[in-house]
Amino acid sequence: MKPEDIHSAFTRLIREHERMIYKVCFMYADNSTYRQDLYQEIVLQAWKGYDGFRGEAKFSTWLYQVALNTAIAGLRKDKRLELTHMPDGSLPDMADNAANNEQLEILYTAIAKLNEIEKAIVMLYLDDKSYDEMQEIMGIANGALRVKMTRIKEKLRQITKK
Amino acid sequence: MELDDFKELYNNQSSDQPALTNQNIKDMTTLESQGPLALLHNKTKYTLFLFPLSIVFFVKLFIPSLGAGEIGHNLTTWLVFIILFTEYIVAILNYFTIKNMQNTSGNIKANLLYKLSLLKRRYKWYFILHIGLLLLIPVLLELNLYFHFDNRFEGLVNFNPLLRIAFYAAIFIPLYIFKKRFQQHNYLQHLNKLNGLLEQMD
Repeated sequence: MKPEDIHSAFTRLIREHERMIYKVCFMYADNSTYRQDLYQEIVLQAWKGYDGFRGEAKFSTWLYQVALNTAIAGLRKDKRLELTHMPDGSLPDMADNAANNEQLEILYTAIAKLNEIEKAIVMLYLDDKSYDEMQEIMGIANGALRVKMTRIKEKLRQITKK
Repeated sequence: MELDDFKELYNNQSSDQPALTNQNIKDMTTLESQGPLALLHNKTKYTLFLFPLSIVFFVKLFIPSLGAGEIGHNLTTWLVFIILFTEYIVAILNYFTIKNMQNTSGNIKANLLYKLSLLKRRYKWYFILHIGLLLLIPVLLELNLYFHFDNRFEGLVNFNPLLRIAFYAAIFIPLYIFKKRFQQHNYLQHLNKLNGLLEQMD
């Protein structure tokens, strides 16, 4: 069992970065139930791996790696199961806010047509990550990322034209 | 659509989400993972107990006072023991492969490469162990004809050696094909998925 102060530090860091986790969930899960499920899995995987976080990279970079590895490499459930309710009955509201905004809906509809890796790159780009940070998270060389980004932008243009 | 035009909108999208409470996070960290690998990991853990339990039935093979000499000459018992032991080694390999597959550290590419290498190694060792096992059984049966471990199999000596080889082949080649298909069904889809993701990175 990890000491209470480690738990408190982890909780504080997750709260500071919760919007980042939301974004990963919105990008990789297409309904509210699935998003909650993925959200819980990411937090759980982050907690399990927190001992290994040595602070060499920024916490956000490390958390992005955990979240994307969880979302991309199949650690989440394949089936959409029922919600796991918290003892206090509450969970973060993962309602489809994007659907309430026409512009965001266009964005997400277009991004949904990209492959898993392209989605991750777009998300990091939208999040204003530098190419160096993107390289650290993705493991793809800076130059290759720039080329990919140009192609993705063009692909999104084509998708939205149709 | 110009992606850059959406940056501001995208970054403000979750501002109206209610914040997590500390209790929410604490509760999440105490949950059991419900991912497919975690569920598979739990199942594999149970299979690890089966062999140590079944070893009770083979204890006579190793303890002289319980008649090890006598039963040691029972080829069938040895064959069953070797098959079970091989399956146990496979179960241990499965356990560690699945455990390590749940690793979420490192950059995305390195993590995918690590998982791919784990699965390939697992796949390779599965075949080495099973081919070894499938070869060992006819070898033991043939040795029995010369060293007389078990007289129940000595009737094989009446058959022409070529006929015996054909007999072994008729039994073990279908077994090998079955094992291979079973493994491909279980692992190839994961290998293909990981290869597909790595191709997307190039």
